[in-house]
Amino acid sequence: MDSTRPIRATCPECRGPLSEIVKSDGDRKLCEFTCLVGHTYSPRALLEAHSQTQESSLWSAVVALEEAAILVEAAVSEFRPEVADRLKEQAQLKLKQAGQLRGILEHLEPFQTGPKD
Amino acid sequence: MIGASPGGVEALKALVSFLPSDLPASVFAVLHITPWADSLLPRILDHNGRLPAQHPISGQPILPGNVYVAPPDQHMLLEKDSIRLWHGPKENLHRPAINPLFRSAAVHFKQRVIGVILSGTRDDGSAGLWWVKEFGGLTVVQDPSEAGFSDMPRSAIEHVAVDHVLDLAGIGTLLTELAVDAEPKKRRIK
Repeated sequence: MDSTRPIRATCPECRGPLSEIVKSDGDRKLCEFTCLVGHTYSPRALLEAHSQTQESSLWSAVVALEEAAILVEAAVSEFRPEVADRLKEQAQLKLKQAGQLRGILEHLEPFQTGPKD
Repeated sequence: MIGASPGGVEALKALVSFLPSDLPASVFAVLHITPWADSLLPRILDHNGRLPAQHPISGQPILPGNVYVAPPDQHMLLEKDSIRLWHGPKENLHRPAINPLFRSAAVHFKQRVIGVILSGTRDDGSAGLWWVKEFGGLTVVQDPSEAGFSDMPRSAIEHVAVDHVLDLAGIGTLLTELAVDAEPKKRRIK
């Protein structure tokens, strides 16, 4: 018997909607996850894939903040001095926030699904 | 039909060395490998066994006495009489992946399929083996104590009703006996 139900999470590879498929033969149970387009994961593969996506998403967030400062630097001469000063302050704050995210990334752990060494 | 992951090259090398040159069955092997490297596996298996090993091309007919190895970056699927290669969605982050081969073989060849899970990491391959069992095929797993990486065999034993847990020599003997016994019915070994 198979049962399939959508879950409130997305595919680590494509961000499509994800469903859980549970097979059961009475004695044993096997669980898989599959998305709208067909990326399919065992429970351990799903958590491993998610860990990779989680890390790359957070690096994208670092880029979003750090490049803001670069954009300000490139465009700041086009603005009146009082606006330019405010932009530079905001850029400094974004760099600081990016630094906090880098701190989180330094301590980010992938899910450990294997046996302990 | 054989699925393996890390440690699988060594296991496959040993397993093909136990198969006779007149095996009346076809062998299909998927190793979870990096998709961008050209695989040396057919040459390695060719060199270590008596059966010719190759990466198939899509649409190629299935012939007994051959070892078909899934090529890099393609799922290997079985159809009624032929092999299809498919650049479809990855499964367990792999392409080629074990599960699509096992599923397609189970659906098309049912009780003529023997699914074998060898050394490998994570729980990859268990779902494919479930399909083999569900469609009446035989399920065989490498003895975890012998496997270089025991996670895949252990997961298969935990989740699927496995018919045989054997060392590689035992698997080679079993596959040969079953193929020969079933010859009138043309059982295929996968």
